[in-house]
Amino acid sequence: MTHLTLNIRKKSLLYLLLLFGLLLTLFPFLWMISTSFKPENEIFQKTINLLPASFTFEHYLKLFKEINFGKHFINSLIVSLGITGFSVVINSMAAYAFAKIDFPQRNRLFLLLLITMMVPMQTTMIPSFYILKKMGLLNTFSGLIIPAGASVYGIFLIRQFMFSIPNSLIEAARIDGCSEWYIFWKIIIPLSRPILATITIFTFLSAWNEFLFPLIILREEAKYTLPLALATLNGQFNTDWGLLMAGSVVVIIPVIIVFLLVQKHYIKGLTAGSVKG
Amino acid sequence: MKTIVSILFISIFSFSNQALGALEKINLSIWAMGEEGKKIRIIADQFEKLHPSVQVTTQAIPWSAAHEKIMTSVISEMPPDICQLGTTWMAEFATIGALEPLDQYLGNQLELTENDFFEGPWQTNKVAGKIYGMPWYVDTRVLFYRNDLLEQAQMPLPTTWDELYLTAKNLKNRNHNMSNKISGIKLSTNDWMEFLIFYWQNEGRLLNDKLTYATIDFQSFKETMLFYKRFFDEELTLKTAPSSLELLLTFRDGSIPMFISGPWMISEILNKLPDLKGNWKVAPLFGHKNHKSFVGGSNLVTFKNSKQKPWALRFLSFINTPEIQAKWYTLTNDLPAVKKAWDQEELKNNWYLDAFHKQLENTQSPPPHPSWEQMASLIAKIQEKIILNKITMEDGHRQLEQDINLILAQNKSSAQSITFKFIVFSGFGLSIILLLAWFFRQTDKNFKTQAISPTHAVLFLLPALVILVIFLFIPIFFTIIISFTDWNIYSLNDLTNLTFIGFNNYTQLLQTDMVFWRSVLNTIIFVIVGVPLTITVSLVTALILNIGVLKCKSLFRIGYFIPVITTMVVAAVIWRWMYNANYGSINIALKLFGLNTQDWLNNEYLALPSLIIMAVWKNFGYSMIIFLAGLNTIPYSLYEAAYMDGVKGIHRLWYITIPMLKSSTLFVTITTVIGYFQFFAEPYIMTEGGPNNATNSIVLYTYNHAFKFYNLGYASSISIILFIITLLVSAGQLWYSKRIET
Repeated sequence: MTHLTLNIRKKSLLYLLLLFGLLLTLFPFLWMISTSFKPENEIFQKTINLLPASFTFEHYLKLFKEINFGKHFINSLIVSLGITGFSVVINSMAAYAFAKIDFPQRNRLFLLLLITMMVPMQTTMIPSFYILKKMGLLNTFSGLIIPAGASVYGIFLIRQFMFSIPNSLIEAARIDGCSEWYIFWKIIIPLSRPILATITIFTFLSAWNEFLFPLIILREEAKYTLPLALATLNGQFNTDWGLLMAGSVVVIIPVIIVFLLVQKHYIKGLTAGSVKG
Repeated sequence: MKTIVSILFISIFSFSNQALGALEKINLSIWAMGEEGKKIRIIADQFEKLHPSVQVTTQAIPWSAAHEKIMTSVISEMPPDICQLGTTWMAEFATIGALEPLDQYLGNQLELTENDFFEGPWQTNKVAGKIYGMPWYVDTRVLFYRNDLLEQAQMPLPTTWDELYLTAKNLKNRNHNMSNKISGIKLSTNDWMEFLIFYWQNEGRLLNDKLTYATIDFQSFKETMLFYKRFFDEELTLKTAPSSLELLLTFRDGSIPMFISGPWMISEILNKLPDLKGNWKVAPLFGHKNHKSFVGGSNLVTFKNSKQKPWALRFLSFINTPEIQAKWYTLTNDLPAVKKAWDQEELKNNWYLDAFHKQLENTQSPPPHPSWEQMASLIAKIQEKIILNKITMEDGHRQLEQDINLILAQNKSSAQSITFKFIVFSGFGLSIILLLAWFFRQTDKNFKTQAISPTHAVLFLLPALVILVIFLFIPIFFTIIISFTDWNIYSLNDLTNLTFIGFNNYTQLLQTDMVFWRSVLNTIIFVIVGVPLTITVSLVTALILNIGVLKCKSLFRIGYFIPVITTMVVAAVIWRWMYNANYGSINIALKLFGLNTQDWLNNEYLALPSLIIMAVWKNFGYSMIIFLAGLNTIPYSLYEAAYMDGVKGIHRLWYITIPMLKSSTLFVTITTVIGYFQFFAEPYIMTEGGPNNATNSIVLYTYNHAFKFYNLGYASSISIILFIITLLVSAGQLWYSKRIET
């Protein structure tokens, strides 16, 4: 192990650099948190003070008073967890087929999928809306979850990673008479943990923050997800900054929790020693 | 046990009873925006009390996407019974044919007539001679000023243009000890509303009465523009308009002592600047040939598809009674459109309301044309170009007339027969099938027939493919077809009006649309600069985190990922502040080093680089996480073996780590390129594509055409072109990476 570590001077320099970078990336985030605890008159300063002179919970109290927080939070949770669970399974199945099963036209089919990524979703939104209406899925959570169940981005990401799983491992299992199902669930999935952790974060994050699509699909305020409910608090011309910041803090917390939950899988990955080159 | 069963039974029974009761009630659905959407519940409760047979469901729609929401509900023929519409949206939705004309109900089912309302707000409901809505609340622009500073400068409240100029000049030249630039009044280079107020006060006109062609009289246009431009030329106003937050700050410190704004600003100042009490006032606008101001606000409409029209009308009458309007004022501070409401106790004896009351008698609204949004953005564009001396007065005037006439020429096109459309449609279907057949034309050489049967592949692929076909392939197929049609505001509600126009969208786009070409250029710059920058930053961070750092690894990991998580709105607030010309942290830092400060977001050459830096900050965490996952797949034994062979330091990085990250790098590069070609969120929130289209992007331009201007056909063709550009670049990329390999 020792030969891979750096000497003290280099190391402290590195840490200094990393801390500086951390400050840059975290600054807006910290400011958002501090603003959410500042009284109104303190928000309107020319200089940005990270520490509020006096703490207040008024923005949070107002937030919980103005919107039915619990309900929207649960809606968001259902939709985001639904999308994440559903799409991680479906995408990794497809990725396995693309990475590890030989079938005719495999690469061309994959290329076709890649090509579809190049059309911006802003233009396909209205046709998708039509289709959901025809399927009777408007104003339902299924209408949000099902279309997000497969994503080319996810398939692509998992497939790239699965390439690094040695074929010998799979072939050995096939020779031992394992079914493809068994290989997929018992060998491939456990070995793909780092990338599944990654895709879980990404999917959860985008599902949790999604705004425009849920807005046009959902037609009852009671079904609004959290970002929609928060957006209704903004005026046409004026913004309540303290409230906006409190809302943003509350929206971010679940994403951070998911990140912390799955990140340990980065450490336990292939490096754990199950596979060696 | 028995009791449990009976309780269960009773509860089920009572539940179904309730459900039945709800079914029997008449359901009236109301959509309103933001704060109004929440507060209208109180009015709805009161209405329900009066009419127990009616159940009102209210839905608050966020302002930021209200247009999109209403538009899709109209397309899908599922509008609410009553909806709040901004005054400038009336013509659009009336032209689409979605709104119910109300003329026949006036004075009978609607217990209201024209005389109950102020004239200006009433006129906003009139489209092509018919009344489509009821004014709900009004917004008119008045002058906000610092009376203490005016006194100090010994200037009277300006009532004419000349006085306005003199007052602004004296305010600008007053003694002060402020570090930032001070001005006399706030005006904007690209706010069409402010320019129009001056133009209207000079008796200027935009369109003829039938709204068929532009009638912009050059003399009054020039006079107005010269007067307006003078404020900028003599630096009586800043060339960069402050954001709403900055405006409050500058009003407080006095560096902007006067500005034109609407009623919402009252509560903003009262709440956020309580220390300014007594030192600010509002007054009706100055005047020239007349004293007109802009009138806006919101109307309430009902739709042709509404099943509860009589109840909708009853609700409209109810909400416009003086008592309810006065109550509405106390709930929301929205100013009533009903004249009698102003006599109510709640609105009397209010020092700041007088100015609005007086101004309401003297207002004008933009011409009720469905493509007004598009014209307004043209006015703003020309206004900006003339003020910044990019174009002469004559050319600006000519171009404005020309472009507006071009918009007005767009109209219902001749109907095509259903058979013809069917043939074209199936033609498209057939050619797509042929294209796919060609794509998969020959047997795959790479495929080695092996023991595993391909049926397994089908099973693994099927769920993903079904979803992708329904929600991705079919919508894309329709997007392609739409791009060959003139699907616009006139056929939005009725698809039978759709006409196939061949390559017209494409030729117009490629041959005459300069804004499109500018957005293509911007997007390409964004990709060429932004992608390598993002990938380098993320790769370096991932490598440092992976190799050098053992302690606090997860802290750094999440720290660097935080920008990705941070909502765009919050990120935009803080980055706008950092880029602020006067007190932004970037300029403060530059000053410390004795460097020149810049107006980052408002400078045509710096705006795009500023957004690129922000995008790198926002996005590098994504790729970093992917690189980190990739780094985890490199077996430790490889490093050990290399160490034994004497490979050290940077060589280890170069010969082991980087090559082993090949598949992650390929993934990151391709997806970042594709993602950055769809450059949208940053300009959408930060700059709206300005200044002078310097940050307009292809997707932003598409979005505006689709959801602001209803040119869905045109918008689709833009995105098809974007698709082709991305395809060519990605193909080149793949080809290049393959060539390197071999």
